[in-house]
Amino acid sequence: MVTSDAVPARFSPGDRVAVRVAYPIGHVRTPYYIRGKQGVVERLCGTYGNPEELAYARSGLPRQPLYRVRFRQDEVWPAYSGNRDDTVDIEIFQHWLEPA
Amino acid sequence: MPASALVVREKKNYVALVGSDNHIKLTPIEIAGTDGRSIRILGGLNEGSRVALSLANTIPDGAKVNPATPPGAPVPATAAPPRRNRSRPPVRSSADADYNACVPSDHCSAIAGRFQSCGESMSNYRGIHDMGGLSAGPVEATEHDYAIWEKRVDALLVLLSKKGHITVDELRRNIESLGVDAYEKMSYYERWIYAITQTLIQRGVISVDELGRKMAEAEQTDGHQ
Repeated sequence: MVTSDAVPARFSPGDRVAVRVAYPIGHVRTPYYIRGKQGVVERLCGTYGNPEELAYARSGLPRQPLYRVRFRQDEVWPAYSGNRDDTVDIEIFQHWLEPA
Repeated sequence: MPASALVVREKKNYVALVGSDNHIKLTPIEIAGTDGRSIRILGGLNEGSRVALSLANTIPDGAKVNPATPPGAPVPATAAPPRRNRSRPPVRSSADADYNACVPSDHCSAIAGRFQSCGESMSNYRGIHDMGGLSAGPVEATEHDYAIWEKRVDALLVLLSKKGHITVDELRRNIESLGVDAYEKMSYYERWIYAITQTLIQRGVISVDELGRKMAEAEQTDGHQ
């Protein structure tokens, strides 16, 4: 559901994206290990209040698009020894993503 | 010493002293107090001792570490000893070191989280909870029955959320803000009730004074419960 209190979606399924490299203190839902990695948008999950704001009892508005992004395991973990085609899906808010 | 130098093994407190041969030696310490960032200790550590920071739980006493260069120079330390465990990503990138050591120990800064290097910089802040990819040893699957107080804590969160007194994001933020020592030692629902209480104080739902008095009252009525 996208209403006027939501930021418009910037990416579509299939888009290649890079996770921003940033290490702010505060409440951050983007895992440390995925920052700086590149993946492909698998789907738009919807728009949700921004947890970085909600964590401090603020409104979390405007809502942010949340994407499920698929990463290759052997790109996330350089010494990955599992199946070459293994992937990991991580749900990441739009403001943590850049086009790649 | 920085809080991240604390090593907790089987509920006992240690620091990992790094010898001249770069092997670590777990040395028992007694904690005098902490402000969440640093820990005051009673002996066990000499001025200028080299200590390992953010040592992963799986690194055994006597293991060899690769110390990072002195403060200010962010050099990746070596990755953990190779592990073979198919249930988790086996090896971490060399930039994601489990441990860093630096000299002397009082030059290191650490808040309740992990820094990649020993500098004063917060440029690589990593929360204590944000442990994806860090070595954690084998997963021990054990049966666990919830105690009645744990069920109550769970119910309390549901009720408070419905009444609009807390969001899960505030709960998480307050859990993540626990000091390293407390984070490691508290059980799951102990962290929850701590974070719920913090949130209610932050929002003015309860006051510290009210809490203190009520806790003392409960102590009186319930005795050892």
